[in-house]
Amino acid sequence: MKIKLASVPIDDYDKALKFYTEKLGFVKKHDIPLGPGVRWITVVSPEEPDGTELLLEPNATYPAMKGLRESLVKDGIPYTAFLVSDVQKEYERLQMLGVEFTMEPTDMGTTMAAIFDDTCGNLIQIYQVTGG
Amino acid sequence: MATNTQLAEEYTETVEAVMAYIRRHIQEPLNREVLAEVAGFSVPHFHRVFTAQVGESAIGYVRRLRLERAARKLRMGAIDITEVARAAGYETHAAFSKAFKGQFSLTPSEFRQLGCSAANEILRCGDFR
Repeated sequence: MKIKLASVPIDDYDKALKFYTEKLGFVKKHDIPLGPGVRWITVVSPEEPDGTELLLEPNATYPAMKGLRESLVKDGIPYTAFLVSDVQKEYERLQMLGVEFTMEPTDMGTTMAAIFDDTCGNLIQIYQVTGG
Repeated sequence: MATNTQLAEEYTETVEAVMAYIRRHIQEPLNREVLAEVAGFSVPHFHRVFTAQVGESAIGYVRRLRLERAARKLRMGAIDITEVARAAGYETHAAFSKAFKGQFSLTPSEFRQLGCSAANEILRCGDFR
């Protein structure tokens, strides 16, 4: 068994795809029409083009998901996290691109982490492993 | 001539833009002069409009936002309170602790000992990110 797919909830395919590729720097892997108004869109890291795919999943308006997302954002809790090699450098790069951070790089002991708003209704954490 | 409703809507938009500016520039020095310039108002007019719309002064809002962000860092596991204090704009641990306790009725160390749920309950009293 392998983990090859993860997802983030979104409500607008094009807006999400634009953010996750143009701002975060991921690469579109699949964009498959599944019927009227429905697409299977995944992105991957350019560092791992055959690695885990991130599905931009259009379930953000599903009532339970909507409630969960709103609560997570209100509490400042990230929906998911991406590994980076240098949080400070990535923070500065994304800030230059206008990405809004709710937590600047912070030492958490064994990791350095920061949290940003993905403009799709989710807070996302980036982290760097700094210790055992 | 602008009606009172139009004026109120314009003020709301301006204040929302200032609040967005504050969130984006929270780590920079933010004073009334800078924020009034963002709003395009004189300092006294900005103070009146912001306070009327938000229910607290812009400087009070900035202070509260910084303290809430600091609290979230502690809840997430930040290990160095002095570093958290500096990022929130406080020169010393003592000054930060005093302001933190004034906001949340707990010292940063006490807050850090709380479980996630208890910390969230306290933070939910705030209404901003």
